[in-house]
Amino acid sequence: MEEAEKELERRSKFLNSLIQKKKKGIEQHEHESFKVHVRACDMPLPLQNRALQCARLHLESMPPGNKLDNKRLALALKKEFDSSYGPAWHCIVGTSFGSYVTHSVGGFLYFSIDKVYILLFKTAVEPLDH
Amino acid sequence: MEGAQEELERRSKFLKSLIQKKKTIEQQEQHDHLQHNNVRVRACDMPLPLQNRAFRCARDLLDSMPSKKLDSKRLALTLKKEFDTSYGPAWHCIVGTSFGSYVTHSFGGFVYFSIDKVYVLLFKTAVEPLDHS
Repeated sequence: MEEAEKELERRSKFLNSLIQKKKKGIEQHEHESFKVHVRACDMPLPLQNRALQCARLHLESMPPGNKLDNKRLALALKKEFDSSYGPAWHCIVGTSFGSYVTHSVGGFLYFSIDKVYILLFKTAVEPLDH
Repeated sequence: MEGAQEELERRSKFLKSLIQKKKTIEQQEQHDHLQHNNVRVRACDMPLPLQNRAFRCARDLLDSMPSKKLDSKRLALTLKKEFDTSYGPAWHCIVGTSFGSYVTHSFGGFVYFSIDKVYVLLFKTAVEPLDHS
């Protein structure tokens, strides 16, 4: 009976150890995959969070192993911000670019998520000729 | 009277022919120019003189960079400044080897081209009116 008890305890510890390792691995993976770094900013916090969340969701929705489609992410962000905060927003997504832009007050965010850099900024729009 | 009409028609045809030839020559020159400078236009909504201005500006700066390493930000700044100064604000410029974009631009103010191995996006938007209160 004592031997059986010891065996159960040993197996229990082993399982706990496995679970712990797996959990650690998952956390590490998540941390690495979606590490966010705001690099330059002139934007209210709620809008920042909106952009980060939109980008994160877009990355998460991609099948594992698929390469990021820069243009699709740029479009998704621009559309969301145009419709939520008024036109016109512009978005650049990529791994290697430099930029120089003029933006509206409170409408500029440059951040990285995973290995991709994202520039999101707002400008005035041309009045349409009616 | 008929003679005069025929003469007018003949001159009209001649002028049209001249215009067409000039247009063809200009297109050929543009093509040669791009070829020579290793420039390829990938998307465009911009008058030809402004395009050429952008290509020349980019070419000159790339040639002037001593190291072969691309300074994206410097090229972006140079192009933006030149266009803000020459054609009015506000211009925006993105330079790099790997990026996608989605933007809204003013009419006639958009060009996306590659020069050597670098891609350049140059576009114009309206500017926020400044508060003078």
